[in-house]
Amino acid sequence: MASLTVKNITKRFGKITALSQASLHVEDGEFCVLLGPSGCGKSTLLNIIAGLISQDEGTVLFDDQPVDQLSPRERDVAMVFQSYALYPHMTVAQNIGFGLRMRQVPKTIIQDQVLETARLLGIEELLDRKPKELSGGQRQRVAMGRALVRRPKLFLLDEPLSNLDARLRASVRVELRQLHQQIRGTITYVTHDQVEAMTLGDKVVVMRGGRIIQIGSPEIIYERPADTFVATFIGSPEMNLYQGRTAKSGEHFSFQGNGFKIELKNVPVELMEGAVEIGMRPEDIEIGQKGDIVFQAHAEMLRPFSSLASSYH
Amino acid sequence: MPLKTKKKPVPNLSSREARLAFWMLAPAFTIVIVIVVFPVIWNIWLSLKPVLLGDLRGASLFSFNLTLGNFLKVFTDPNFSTIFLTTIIYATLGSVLSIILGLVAALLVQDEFPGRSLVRGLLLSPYIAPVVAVTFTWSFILDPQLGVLNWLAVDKGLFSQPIPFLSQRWWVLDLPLITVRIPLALTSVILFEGWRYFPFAFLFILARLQAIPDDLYQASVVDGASPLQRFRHITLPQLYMVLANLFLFRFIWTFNKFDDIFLLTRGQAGTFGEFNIGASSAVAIVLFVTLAAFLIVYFRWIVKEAQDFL
Repeated sequence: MASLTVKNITKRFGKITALSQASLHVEDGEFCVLLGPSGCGKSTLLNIIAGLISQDEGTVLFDDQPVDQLSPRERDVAMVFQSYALYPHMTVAQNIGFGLRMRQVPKTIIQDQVLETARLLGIEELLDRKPKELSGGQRQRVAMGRALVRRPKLFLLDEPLSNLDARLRASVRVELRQLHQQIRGTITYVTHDQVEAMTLGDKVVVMRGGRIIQIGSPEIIYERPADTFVATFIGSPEMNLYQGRTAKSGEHFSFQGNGFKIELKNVPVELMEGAVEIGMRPEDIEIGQKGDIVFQAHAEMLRPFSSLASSYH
Repeated sequence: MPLKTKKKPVPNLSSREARLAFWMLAPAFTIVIVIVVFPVIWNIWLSLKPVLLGDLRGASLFSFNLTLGNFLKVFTDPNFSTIFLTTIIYATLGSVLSIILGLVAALLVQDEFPGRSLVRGLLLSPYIAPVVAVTFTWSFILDPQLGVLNWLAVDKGLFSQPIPFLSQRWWVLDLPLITVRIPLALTSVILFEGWRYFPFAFLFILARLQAIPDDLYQASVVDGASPLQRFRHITLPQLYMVLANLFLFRFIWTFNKFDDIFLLTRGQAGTFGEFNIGASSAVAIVLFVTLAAFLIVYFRWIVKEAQDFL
């Protein structure tokens, strides 16, 4: 396993800048999630790390050694594709063992390692089948197996769960987390799904428009979003944003919104008077009559959903 | 009093669908009968009768003077086994060559480069050009007296004397240790066949190549496969089905090939001859039966195998 450092990577496709000055560091054994809406450059960054496409500027380092001049084979990374990209004409065993075979590993060792990996993923019974005979979840496991069997320096996963149905996705997410704790591999994981990012990542990298907006633990990203984009992108239901002004009255600041006023106490940032935008997570809003906040709203729709009920106004 | 209405009973759904199906299938069925089934039966009929060109319009065409004489003539011909073997060699090598050339061409123009569409279009020209025109051009190029190839080769000292590529059956090559006898006209015709029909293979292979998902290649690159390994383990297996089908088509068409060879060689190297309709029909039946046998074997083994690759 290795640590990964990306320094000032810029990539342009024609006139479009897919990545601009992206830098990040992933510790050895860390699970890092690249999160952002589609077209934000996260997959491009992953492909650059893998060596499948080359960057225009910047450098990629494994264990502080530049790998820019190395082919994907020499970089010794493993990748799981969104489509799984299983070789359709090979059996599951051949699919998993392909990387070892290409590296001229002796047959008996390939067999052992394929079996061991299949056991780890619970797919021993499927080894003789072809990909077309497998369900979506099973294919996903085979794709994981193909990556795991080689014990590479780095695992790169490109939206590996997006083709699974919601129930399966939740259970595979848990398994993936357990698997990571078991093998302690360095993982870079691309997703547009904030739930995946928040539940899987040790570190979350939020991207938008080819730029890295914020890097931090899921808690930090949630509690202290860098800007309104991160604030609204993370969290479901979405965070409420209100525009208004802050004003100092006595010792405390207060926020004057459109028809309501909030006293700001114990706010972890330096406050100044002026126009601001504040955000409130829906779960932090309670119905009550404490008197210090007066906020009236008209509920237009109530949506009961399991233990949560969402109110839209 | 029960009301009596004299209405035609409405036919149920399945019989209405059956009627529709009948009328939908009738045209195609008729066409197949007229242009496939009837000629085959007619051919079998003719092959069992002594018919010469002059008899083709006579009433004797319908008389039951059946005989196996035509087949006897074909099978007892002292050249039969040689001709049969030559046909098989020609069909096999001609098909394989055109497929290999098509594969190489398809791989060359698969990736993006400036002028790719133009090159792709130009590659089709041997196949599109009229057969008379291309055979004329080639026989002109290969001609021993007037041909540009012989002139160039003799001029540069490559050949000591002009080689009649299309009209000489054997070409004896004296090498230091052994003497090799090359079937010259056959080789020329096979090379011509490979050249003329590679665009057909090229088109099919290119279409299949374009359909191979890019991420299979990306996955294999990450798995550490070299370009050659990628071709061997990804491209070739993905092409297996189309290659198998191409060989099938090319083999059938080359096996029955007449026009190209006739136009190219004018029968000079021992090819064509008499106007015996009955005997010709018998030859056609022999070709037909051979191809049918080939098809059965082919579908049993190769195509079944190929489906495994999907």
